[in-house]
Amino acid sequence: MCPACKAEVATVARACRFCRATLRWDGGVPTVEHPQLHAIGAPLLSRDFRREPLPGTRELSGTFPGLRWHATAAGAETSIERSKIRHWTFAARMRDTFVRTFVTAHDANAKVGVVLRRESLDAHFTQYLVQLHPGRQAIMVAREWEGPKSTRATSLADESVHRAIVGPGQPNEIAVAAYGGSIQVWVNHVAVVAIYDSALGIGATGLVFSATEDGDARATFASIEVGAVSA
Amino acid sequence: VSDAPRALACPRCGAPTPFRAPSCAYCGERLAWRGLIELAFADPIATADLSRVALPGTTYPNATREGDHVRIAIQTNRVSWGTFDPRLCDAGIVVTGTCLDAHGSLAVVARLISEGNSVTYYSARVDPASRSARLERAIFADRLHVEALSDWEVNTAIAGVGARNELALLCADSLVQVRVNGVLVISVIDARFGYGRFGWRVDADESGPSVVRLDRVELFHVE
Repeated sequence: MCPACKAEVATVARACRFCRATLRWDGGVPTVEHPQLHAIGAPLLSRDFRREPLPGTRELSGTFPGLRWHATAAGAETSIERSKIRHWTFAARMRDTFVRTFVTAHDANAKVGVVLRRESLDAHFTQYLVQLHPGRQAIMVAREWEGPKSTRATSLADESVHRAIVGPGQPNEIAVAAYGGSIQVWVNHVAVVAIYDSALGIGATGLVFSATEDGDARATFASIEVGAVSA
Repeated sequence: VSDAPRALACPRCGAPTPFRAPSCAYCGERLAWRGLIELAFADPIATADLSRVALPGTTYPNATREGDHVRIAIQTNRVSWGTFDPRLCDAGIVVTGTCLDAHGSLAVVARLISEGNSVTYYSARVDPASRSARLERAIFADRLHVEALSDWEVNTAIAGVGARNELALLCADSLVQVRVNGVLVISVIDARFGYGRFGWRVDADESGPSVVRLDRVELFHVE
């Protein structure tokens, strides 16, 4: 059985014919084989938030209902109200991508991370979210359908604690590589999650910031780099 | 389950490769791509011969068996549809049927995923009255949101009202192709939806109710 989509697979098949996951066989048991990905060349898109605006914005400071941000010597300091979420994405649509960001959560309610393959159709978005919850030293990955009235999510990696993630007040480096259905995440240079999902293939890349329902949250985004990825 | 060749696989190690990838991500083999890849059907996954079995899916309250086919009555501006159970990335769906009046159209859906009350999919349609075909991608949430990937265009391969059409939608990675009666009528590159169910659909437009006769629905791997 394919470990990614649970479809039947032929013994020692190189790949699942249903979800395209590449398989590795060990003792008759298949696991998803992820390619060894790394960024290639200079970043295609990059921002230093000490002196450049957040992706999709033009000013170093701004407000949005439930959200404020302004540039500081450490980056874009942002604050958001409880249970709210905000994305900042570059306009470029990409399939396979490598993204790296440095972000510091300032309190336990902050969730910070990266959005991949965010694509609109009218007022609806489909996307992948890679979110760190530094207050719990945890990470989660989800596939989302976001509409004006509601958001539906499928968890691809449930919230799990990883000691590579540092808590509030200290910066985390989040790096994500997406290649086909393979999405791999490193936090502070440690591989923490690798999932396979082929449902969404293209879209914008950027940052995501949210607050839990326990209270408002603050975080400082220092920089982002987005580039091509290769094995 | 067999190990027949699949579309867009590395010829050296067999790992799936994205369309137009310069090299295999697993073995490093450099890949050369021809100009136009025309996808082909491989081995069958599921077949609904409607002379013997029911339509796949559940949303067809007005379908009746008549000899070797199923006759579906659709109300004005409504849709009936259904899907096979397997979810796939790369596959081809084929529906064979006849629109018996000018209000109906025949369609197939691909890579359909539902998330709560939301559904996303590709859909290829033929309108026999205008002998045109269209390929679209859609999200149904509070209502239907549709984008044309290739808008209505006349093609003489499409048979008119009262004549049988065989409509096929083939997907492999970001390649999405539509064939009508064996002729490639649309080929686009779109990577948005990569995985899901495949199925059939019949529509009646806003000008009146329609009756459509379906003969077969078939799902294939592609190569």
